[in-house]
Amino acid sequence: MKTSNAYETCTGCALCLLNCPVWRSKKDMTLTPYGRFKAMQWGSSTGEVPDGLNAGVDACTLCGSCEVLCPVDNEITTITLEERRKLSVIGERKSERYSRYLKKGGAVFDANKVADKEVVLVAGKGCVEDALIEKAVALLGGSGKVCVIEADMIVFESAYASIEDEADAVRHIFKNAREVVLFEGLLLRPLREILPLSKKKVISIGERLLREPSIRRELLSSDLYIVDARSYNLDHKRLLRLYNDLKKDVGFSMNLDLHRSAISLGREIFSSDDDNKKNVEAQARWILEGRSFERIVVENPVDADIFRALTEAPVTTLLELI
Amino acid sequence: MRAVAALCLGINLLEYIFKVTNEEIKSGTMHLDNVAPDSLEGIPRQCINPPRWHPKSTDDAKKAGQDDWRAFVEELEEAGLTIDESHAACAIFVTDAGGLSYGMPHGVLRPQCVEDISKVLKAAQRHHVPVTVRGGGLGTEGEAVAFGGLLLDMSSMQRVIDIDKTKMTARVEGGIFWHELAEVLRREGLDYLSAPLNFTSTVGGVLGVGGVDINSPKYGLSADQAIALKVVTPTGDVVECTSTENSDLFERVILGYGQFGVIAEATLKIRNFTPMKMRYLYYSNLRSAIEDLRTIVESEASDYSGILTIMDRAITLLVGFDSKEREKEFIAKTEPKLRGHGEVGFGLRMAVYYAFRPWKLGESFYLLKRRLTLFPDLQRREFMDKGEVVDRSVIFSRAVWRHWGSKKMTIPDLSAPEDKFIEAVERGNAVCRKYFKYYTLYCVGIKKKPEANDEHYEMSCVSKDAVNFAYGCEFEPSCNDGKYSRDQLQSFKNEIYDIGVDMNLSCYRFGGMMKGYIRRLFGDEVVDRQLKMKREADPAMILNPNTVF
Repeated sequence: MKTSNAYETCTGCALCLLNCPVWRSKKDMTLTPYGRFKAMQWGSSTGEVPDGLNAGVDACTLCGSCEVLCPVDNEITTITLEERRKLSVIGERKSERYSRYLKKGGAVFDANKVADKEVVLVAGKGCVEDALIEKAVALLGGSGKVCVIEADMIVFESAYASIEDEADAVRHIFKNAREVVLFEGLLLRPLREILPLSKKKVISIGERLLREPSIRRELLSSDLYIVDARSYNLDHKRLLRLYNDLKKDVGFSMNLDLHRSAISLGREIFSSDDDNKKNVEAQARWILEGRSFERIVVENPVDADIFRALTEAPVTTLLELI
Repeated sequence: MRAVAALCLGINLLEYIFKVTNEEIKSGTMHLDNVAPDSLEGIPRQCINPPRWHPKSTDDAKKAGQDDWRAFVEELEEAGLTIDESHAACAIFVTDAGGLSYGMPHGVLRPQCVEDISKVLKAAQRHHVPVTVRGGGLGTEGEAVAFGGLLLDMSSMQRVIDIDKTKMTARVEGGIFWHELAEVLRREGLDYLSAPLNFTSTVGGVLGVGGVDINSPKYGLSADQAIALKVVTPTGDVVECTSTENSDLFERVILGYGQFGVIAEATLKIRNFTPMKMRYLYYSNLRSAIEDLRTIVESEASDYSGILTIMDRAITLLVGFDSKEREKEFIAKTEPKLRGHGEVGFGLRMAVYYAFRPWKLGESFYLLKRRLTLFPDLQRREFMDKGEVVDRSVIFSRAVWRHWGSKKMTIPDLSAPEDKFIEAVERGNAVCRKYFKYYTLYCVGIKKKPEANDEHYEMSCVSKDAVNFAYGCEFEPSCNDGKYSRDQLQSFKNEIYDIGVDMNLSCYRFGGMMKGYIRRLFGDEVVDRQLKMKREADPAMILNPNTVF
């Protein structure tokens, strides 16, 4: 993992800006990984310069699009979470975004709930409708084989707690798991780090559903397919082939940029925040701009409502194609 | 003191004699060419950072108990503009892609519209505050490094304002990245004509210096696709200009190195998007490859072409086509005249060559490694469709940074007319061999704009003696290991630029730290004329100081 002192390896190519939703909305280098790393190379550091780099650390939407483009393979999302963690520990957190939603502390997973089935479906707490979760459970083998574990994504994204810190507890929670399927792509990397499962056994719901021939058959060449940005971008080296072949097989368009990184909605759990809501809408409009389609299929159910508000074309989720 | 001086002189003399008599010079092992003594008599070298600007107190400022900078900041704040003076904001812009030039601005301003730029320049003239305009910051000579004063970060102006499919033009803001433009155009099935193979350079920045692509033999410089500009002059006037309206300003700003105005908006020619059919020819002789490149360029046999060397013994000539018909015509008429080999044939020749030279095992491994890592990146399946390259700019932009990228991108270059190109490349190649074990040469042809007058390319990256095509060559060492000192890289660059002076050529990049070469390359008459125009246009000499004059 290329995270420690990663800012030193940044060459300053600025490719990470190209698909960054924060850059697109703010056009402010200080809020981007490029700006943070260059400033750190020249003496700034998070936590030491009030209102300097801290804002950029908190502004990141953790979509991972920068990682697809980084020529030195820096895991920028992981670095950002580490920096958030650092800021939390030293009490330098300036942004009110998180403190409005949670008290410091808490855990990503409820240690009292141990997964008792071989397939574990991980959903963000309160993020996905129960009906869709039930549908996913049925598709993955039914309630006799699949159990659902909730992750507190606010705690995770804010880095007031980390999975690495809870590693023993998390291993205990997932001790019976043979396959872990995630609605939240951001959890892919830390869970793969600590669980004794192969990468193919800790995957996103999108990838898992696309393995089902019955679902693939329902995709149409006139669809606009919205890949879940975090799930794809943070695992792009492995997933590139799958999605590339899918695009060629079906002939639909996707929310990928010219670099084949997924254009994110910049959606966070904070979509009720007015500023973020405006940015999310702008990102959705950018995804739709200049594309012709008859239907939108979203991988992550949370994205559906945003597109429904912007287009008259039908919007469906991958789960609903069954 | 005299004794010490005599001793030093003696040592230098011995070193010199040793160097001259040591005919067996191994690649990458030679000592530095000292920067200090001048290679050309009477002409001092200049390759250092300029002095930092310090605010003074004019009479008005003194009355208010301020210095120039503070008065400037306050005036702009009153006008609704915020200058970010934080260390974090300024530190982002300490250096550029070259990484050899360092300077901190006093503050950074991100303009949102043309009026913002106008306010800045008017205030800067009043308060004598230098304004350094920065696009992508991908220069290599510190052209966009601010040594004090204000840094105007144009990347905040990224909009595509209009696309006219009838006239096939796009109107954009000057700070837009070429990638952003490509993204927007592609959704409409369109493309720009040509842009540097680096997506985070900006339209405004490139129009000011040139810009070459592998389709420059067909379309010329990236700057030559501009047909109209909205310019903010150094005194803050906003002027719309084209080759017929306010043409003097248009000609000065295009290829003007940012001296005569800030490009706030530009109208560019565009075209329909086409995937590219690509062919590779391999050579073990640099001269043959260059001669064949000239044949292709001057007969206009392909839509894209360029040379990329891996080693002196392994040279790739890339040719590309916008249609199958063009490719077929090339295969039938031009390819038989060329001396390059296909990949299999060339691979066998290399295998035989190295089989009889086991002491060059390391070199063969390097070649093999380059083949196995670089070439797959040039043909990645996600950017290919039915054997055609769908996103050539993305492929090359990524490859440049992945395989040659570093914090110190060292890419001196020469731009030559047709008849001097081979000699220029061979001499430059010899300099590379002297300094580095491994390096890459990147050569392209550049079509001159047929309707351009003599002044269009004056003091520009297109050699003045070029008739129909100029040729450019970039010399880029592979120094990812970081073992080369700043002095070594600088002295390498100086030797390349010395060739330009000696052969009366031009360079893609001649500003910033290389501005000491400007008079040597272009002559006093031209430079003095340009300087006179600059003084008239920019009375306080505040716009992009230290870059050219």
